[in-house]
Amino acid sequence: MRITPRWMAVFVVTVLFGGILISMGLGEWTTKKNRAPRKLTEGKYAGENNPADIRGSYTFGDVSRLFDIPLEDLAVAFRILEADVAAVPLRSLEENFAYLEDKLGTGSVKLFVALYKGYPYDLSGEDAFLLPEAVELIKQKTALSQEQLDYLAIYTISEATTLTTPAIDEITQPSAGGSEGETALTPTGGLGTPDPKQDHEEFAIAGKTTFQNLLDWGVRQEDIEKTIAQPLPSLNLLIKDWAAAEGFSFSTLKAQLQALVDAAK
Amino acid sequence: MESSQPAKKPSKRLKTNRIRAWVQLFFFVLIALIAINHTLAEDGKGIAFLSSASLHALCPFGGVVSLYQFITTGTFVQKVHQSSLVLMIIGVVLALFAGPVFCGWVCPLGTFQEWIAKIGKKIFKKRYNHFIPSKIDNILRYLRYIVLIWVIFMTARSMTLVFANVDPYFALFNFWTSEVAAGGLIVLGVTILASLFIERPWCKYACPYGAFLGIFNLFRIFSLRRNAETCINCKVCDKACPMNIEVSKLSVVRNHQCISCMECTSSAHCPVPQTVDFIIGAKK
Repeated sequence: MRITPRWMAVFVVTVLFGGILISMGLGEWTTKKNRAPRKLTEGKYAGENNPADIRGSYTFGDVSRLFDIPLEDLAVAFRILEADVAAVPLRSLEENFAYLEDKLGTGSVKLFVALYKGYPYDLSGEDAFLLPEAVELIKQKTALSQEQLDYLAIYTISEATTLTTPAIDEITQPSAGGSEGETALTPTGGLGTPDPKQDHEEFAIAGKTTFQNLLDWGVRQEDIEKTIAQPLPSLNLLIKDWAAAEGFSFSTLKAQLQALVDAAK
Repeated sequence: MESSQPAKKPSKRLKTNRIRAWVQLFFFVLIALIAINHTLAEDGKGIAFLSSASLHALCPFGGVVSLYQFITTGTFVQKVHQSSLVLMIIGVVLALFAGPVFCGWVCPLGTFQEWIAKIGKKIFKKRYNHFIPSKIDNILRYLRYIVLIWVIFMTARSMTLVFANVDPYFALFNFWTSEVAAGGLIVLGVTILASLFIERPWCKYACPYGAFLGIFNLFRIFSLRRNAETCINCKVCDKACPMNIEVSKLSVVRNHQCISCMECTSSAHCPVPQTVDFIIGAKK
């Protein structure tokens, strides 16, 4: 039997789309990663979704659904202006608030969800910031412990900083005197105190930093692998892209890797 | 019996495989729209009825490179999804029957190279696709197996999609995003330039997925056969083959480079009916 181009076309299209349809029917056709986070395993919230496992690839719709938080509250807490709040990916926070030097990102969402729901959350080693509106919402919803209140007192982005969108130069190059109007963000949430890391700007991890840069700066491969809990990926990969693809908070990872860079200097 | 007399001029006007061209166009547009929709969806502006999957999720080669990790750990390489594995299986089924029909009929990068080739053919006429001496060319054709082994080994070792850094297919449909590595854009640029001189240069010399599917040509169920008794030795089939296979010297095409495009067949360029055909079962 001879096969004509017409029959070949039918054969190709049928096998291709037929195969996809069958796999869909069997529930095997997935083009996105599994969005279900791990569960809390201890305490009275055991069995609930663990906010620490929220990933940058989630949308605010995912967070709303998985943690039963109204989208309106999420929109207020993270100043989302888009009409379709549910479709906004968490990773866009770092881009939208780039002038805050990645202080607001997926880590902030994890922190917000944990405190909003009253779930236990390990704040040691955490460096996620929240907007004042988010802190206000949390205080309305749940009774915070003293430790949590102390943390928020430090890690709330000040109103003055968030009301304006300063030029990047203003953030990265504050004058030594700390005069009025400076916008450098510090862990105290205040304005005007330069970040010590800025003294070593050439060794500062930013959006364009690759894993190769870390090695060039003297960080040992095994330390990086220990931090990311995986073998070292492609050296030319941007750390920010890797974090987004793996669902890690770039701000959290950045802080951990920056500590390695500082230690290696 | 094969004709020993000088080549006769084909008695009828050469046909083109228009059906394949339409199928290729369909898949090119489909993938382009999905890639654009993926970008729009990232900003929350995606078109609802169209898939917004990343191209990594729609590449069957992702399934091939993930196979080792999937078997050993049950997980996929970063950025690769289960759909890639499904597409890999579909690609294998197609190849078991018809060889690398995915390359010749579906792959948008192959289609893109063929479009560039049209410009090259207008510029260089008969010299097009014959710039590299056949001795060197024959050796270079095995380069893609080295690429295939390197990609599978490095992916298994690093558990990351190393090929994404040099993948011209991903670069072609994502050049407007920051996801594309500089290496991918460079390889795409070289492929475009080379396509002006050589037909499907990426497929011939570097494509690891083409290398993988090419193996199926050795035992595909539909066989591409030339009937020596009716062949007039006009060599039109040789000229029509984008992969420079000398079909006129073979009775059954088992060459690992064949992409099952059917351009050499009597349904397309071969001027004699029922002389070069894809056949199921024994030759009649």
